[in-house]
Amino acid sequence: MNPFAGSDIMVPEDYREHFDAFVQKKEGRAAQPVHQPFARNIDMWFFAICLAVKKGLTPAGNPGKTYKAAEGVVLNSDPWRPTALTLLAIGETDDITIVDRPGDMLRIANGYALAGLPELLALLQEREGDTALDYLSENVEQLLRPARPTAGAAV
Amino acid sequence: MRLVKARFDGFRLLNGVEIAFSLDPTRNITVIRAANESGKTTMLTALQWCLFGEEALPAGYSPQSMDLTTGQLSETVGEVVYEVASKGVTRKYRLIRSLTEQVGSPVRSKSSTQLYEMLPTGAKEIPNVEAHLAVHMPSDLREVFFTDGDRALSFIEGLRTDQQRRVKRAIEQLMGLPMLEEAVEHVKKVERDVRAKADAATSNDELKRTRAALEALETTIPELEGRLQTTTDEIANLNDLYGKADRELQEALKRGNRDEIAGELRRIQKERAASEKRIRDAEGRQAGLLSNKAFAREMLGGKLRAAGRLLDDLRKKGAIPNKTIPILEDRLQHSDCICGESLDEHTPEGARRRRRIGQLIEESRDADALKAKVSDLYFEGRELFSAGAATWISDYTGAFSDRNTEQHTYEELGRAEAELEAKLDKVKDDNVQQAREMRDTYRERLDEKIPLAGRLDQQIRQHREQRVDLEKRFQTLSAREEKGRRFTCELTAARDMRGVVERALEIMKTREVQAVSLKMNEYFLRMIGAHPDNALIQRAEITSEFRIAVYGRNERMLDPSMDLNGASRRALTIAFVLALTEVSGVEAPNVIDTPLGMMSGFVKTEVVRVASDASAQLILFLTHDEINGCEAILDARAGEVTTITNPLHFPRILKNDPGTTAAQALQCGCDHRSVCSVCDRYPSAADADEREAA
Repeated sequence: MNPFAGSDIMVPEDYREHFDAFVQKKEGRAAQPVHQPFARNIDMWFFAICLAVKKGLTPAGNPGKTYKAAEGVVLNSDPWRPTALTLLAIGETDDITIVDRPGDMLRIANGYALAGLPELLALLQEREGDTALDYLSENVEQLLRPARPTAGAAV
Repeated sequence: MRLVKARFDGFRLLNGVEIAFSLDPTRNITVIRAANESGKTTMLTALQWCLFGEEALPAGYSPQSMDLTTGQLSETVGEVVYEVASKGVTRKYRLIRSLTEQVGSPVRSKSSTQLYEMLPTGAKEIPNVEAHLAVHMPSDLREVFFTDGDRALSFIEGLRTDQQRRVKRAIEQLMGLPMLEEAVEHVKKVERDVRAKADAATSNDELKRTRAALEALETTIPELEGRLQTTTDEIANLNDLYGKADRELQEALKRGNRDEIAGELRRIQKERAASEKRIRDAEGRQAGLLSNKAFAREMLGGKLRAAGRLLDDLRKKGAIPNKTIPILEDRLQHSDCICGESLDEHTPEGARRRRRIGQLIEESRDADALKAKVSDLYFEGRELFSAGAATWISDYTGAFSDRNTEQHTYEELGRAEAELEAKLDKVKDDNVQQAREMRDTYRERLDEKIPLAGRLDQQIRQHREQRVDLEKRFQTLSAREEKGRRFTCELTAARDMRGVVERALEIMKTREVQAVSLKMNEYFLRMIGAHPDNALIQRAEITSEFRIAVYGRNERMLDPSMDLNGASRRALTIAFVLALTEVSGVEAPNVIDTPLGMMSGFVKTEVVRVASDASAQLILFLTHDEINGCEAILDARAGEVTTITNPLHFPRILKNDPGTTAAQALQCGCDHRSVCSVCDRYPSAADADEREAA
């Protein structure tokens, strides 16, 4: 069940060109995963949410002028994603009843996406000669790698 | 015959040059030292011209002085004093050959000769000079006694049949075998004449027919033998060419067949395209890791687990799973409850319990669409929030490693593709094809010639057998005729005589060739310092086909033109020439121009020593470089040394101004170790530059 099927995913207009640059499936362009690591807009949007959450960023609001980057129904293709977004909303609010309020849940998700997108674009811009795929993968690896015990910590 | 002295005037560079030759049997070497372009080869030619006339000059060669211009009169004079020992008496002769002609004249003049015997009473002119000279120094022997290091190589280089012909000719000429061959022909002619006389005497028809048949065979057999010889030569040449073409084919095959390389290139290109696709797929898989469930689970971990804890609490409180209604509804289908109490609607208690269950069902329905959602969420989201092993890093490491491995494969294939393309560029379109066609052509021609040789050989045998039969028949018929008896006897005598001469010729050919072969082997091994226990070259011989062959270890036959180094090749041919002149028994000087080229150290010294041992008189034209390293042997063996210098080598090569710009060689008395103001030279252009700068 996808509670977001009737909603649209809106992102600031300023990010449109970046979505066009790093998403593969655009008209007339061959897919190059190393340079365009995201298959669809929804993947890049979801990545931004994950990045923001992992980095402990505060969800952002007031996006200003937006455009429809994806339709909520697209989330149907990966059924675990609506579930993850719902759990994220519960985890964020400690309120189980939020499951009955898809708009609120989407607002929370989008808040994280808006917080994560500048981080994501900053990473993509600082990659220098590295490919987008490799640079993002390395950064994700660093984020997910368990922290080593620091000096003086109990062994 | 031994040379005493020679003088040349107006012969190209040589004007007033006089050479004394060593007559000392213990120091029998005469050295004419001269740098390149100083007159060594000119002097060799001049000596031969003087002794043998115009036939000794190369085609188109003119002895005229270089400084003369068109229309001027050129006068060339060569004078040679030599001695000939015969029956214990030594006679000395003076030969003068002169030639006068106008420079640029299209008509070539013939030289005139004068020969004098030098008697204690004075010089006595000898008439019929050429006939005398032919006895003292037959022109047939010229090319063996007068040679140079390069020309001698022709005995072992070039086409095999040409080598064999040259070796055979040299041996036959020196051994006087042509005389014996002429004798055989002469006896054959006598035999034919006697047979004709016998025929005429008897007038017997059968005898005539037999004679005619015999004469026809006498014509046919040599013809067939000639054709067989030609065919055998062609086969030998074709075998050489076939072997060469086969080697070229093998080389071309080693370089590679263009079609095969192109096929391999297409295969590599296809593999590379597939590899590229695999790289794209691997990249896609790695990119997929940034969007997959494990990624979300680990990135959102804290929030998901917080939600999970809430859901777990609900589950513990019984709100999850929400399965009350189906269980209650199921119970209503039975007559007793889970707890064992009766649900019989016909009893008051049972009916009451059934109403209560119905009430519970209704309350549950109202409670929770929300519970249903949460319940679904719990079950669907358990994988996301439950504790579990982190897999993303290992998935990423695996995907990245796969990509790298495939990238390496792709690059390897790229290198292979580039190598094949380069190889393809190098291989001409039709290299292999051409080489194969060439080899097959020679094979086809061999396949034609070999049976032809077999047929000719067969025919010759048949004709010889016929001749034997006819001769017997002729003898029988002749014997019947009273008048023919005398001729029969003569015929028998002539045939016997022919047999004797033919056998003598055959024995000489075999025996003398063997003698030359043994001597050549001895000299050659001495020259190159080959030890029988461990040398790479074990022996050399002249085969029955007149080929100079060399054998290495394990009797492996070596090709002298390919398997020997330059020094050994020259040593081998000089050994052959020395062996030939020695076995022939002809006493004449060995005159060799630049024999020591490409040699150094041991071989150079030993070639000089062996040549000195083997020669009655040894005259060597040597450059300074050839002398370098064998001064000691020349100290011991050289009886006369003179130095010839080209004055036009000043100032680049000669140190001192010779005071003339005429194209005339200068002569000084310096030996192989000394220099004077005339012949002193710079060792290199750098030294000349240094001196000029100073």
